[in-house]
Amino acid sequence: MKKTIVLLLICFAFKSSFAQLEKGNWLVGGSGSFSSEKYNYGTSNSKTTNLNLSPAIGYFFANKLAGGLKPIYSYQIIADNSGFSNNSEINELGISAFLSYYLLKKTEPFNFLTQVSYGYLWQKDSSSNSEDSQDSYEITGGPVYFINQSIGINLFLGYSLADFREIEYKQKRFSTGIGFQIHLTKK
Amino acid sequence: MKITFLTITILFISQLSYSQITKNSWLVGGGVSFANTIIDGENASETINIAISSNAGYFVLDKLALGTKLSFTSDYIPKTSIKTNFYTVGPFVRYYLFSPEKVFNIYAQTAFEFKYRNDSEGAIRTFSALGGPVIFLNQHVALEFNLGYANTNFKNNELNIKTIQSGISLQIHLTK
Repeated sequence: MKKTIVLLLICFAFKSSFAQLEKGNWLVGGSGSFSSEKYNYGTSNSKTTNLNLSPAIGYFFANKLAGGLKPIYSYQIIADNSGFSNNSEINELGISAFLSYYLLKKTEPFNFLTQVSYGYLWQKDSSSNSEDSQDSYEITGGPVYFINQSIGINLFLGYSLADFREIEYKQKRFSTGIGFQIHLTKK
Repeated sequence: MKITFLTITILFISQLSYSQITKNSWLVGGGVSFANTIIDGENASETINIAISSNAGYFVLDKLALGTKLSFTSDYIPKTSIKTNFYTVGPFVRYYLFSPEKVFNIYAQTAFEFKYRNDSEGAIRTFSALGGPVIFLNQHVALEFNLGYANTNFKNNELNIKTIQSGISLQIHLTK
């Protein structure tokens, strides 16, 4: 009977432990989508096709320290017969690398995340036969509350800078918000 | 010893069972964001965006969830003082074909969506139907593939949009 109680306690402890930040665990996210839209407006019509792939994966190299990659690919083609010659074909391909560190103990349900990232994005517009690329830098941080072993709710505050190489175009962004984090543990 | 064995068995089964789609469980998603974007260069500009979205479903029966999508977006351009708000609301029904114990499942979902814009009358109405395979990665996270069709109509003009869509995403499940 004693053994049973010990096992039940271990079971309970395992179920309620917040061990997402241990070495060897994974952070996952991202999405992929394809859509083909046909617009009908009176006698005019046009067709837009979009493909977006943006997976995100991170790995805990040490307790509380994760590094990861976010590749991105998007393709859009617009075929318009309205007479306005709004045809276009745009390809984007990029990748960003991030480093995340959690400030508090890995066993706490409440923690504080800090993250830095660098990204490179290449763009080509076939309709105007132009191409460009941009470098982007981001720093973000904020509290995280783990509601169970897999899901964290993250309140973030961040600043990013994106700089195009060919044209004079620099984007500065201050952002804040709430989102979900998904952690996959070893077991 | 028998009790110990039974406890271990229950523990093991509880770790392996993926009962996210049983009665009283939840499907959740969404987020809140605010962004202030400043562009320097030839076409300098500044925009402020706010986006709030929530997506919640409740399993009224095993395998059958009813839910609602709510979202609000606002785009503001300080230079021109132009503000564009969109409000979206829409119910959905989701059904899983196989039993809740299965790690692999297939779902089907239909949804209506009504989208309102602050500076124009009438709703943008979308009906969609989609479905696809689901793999439950653990008790709280599912990897979903979908293939679907959507039809969008604008009340005040003749514009109609027909969309074929496909995607892959992660879905969060919260159990009791």
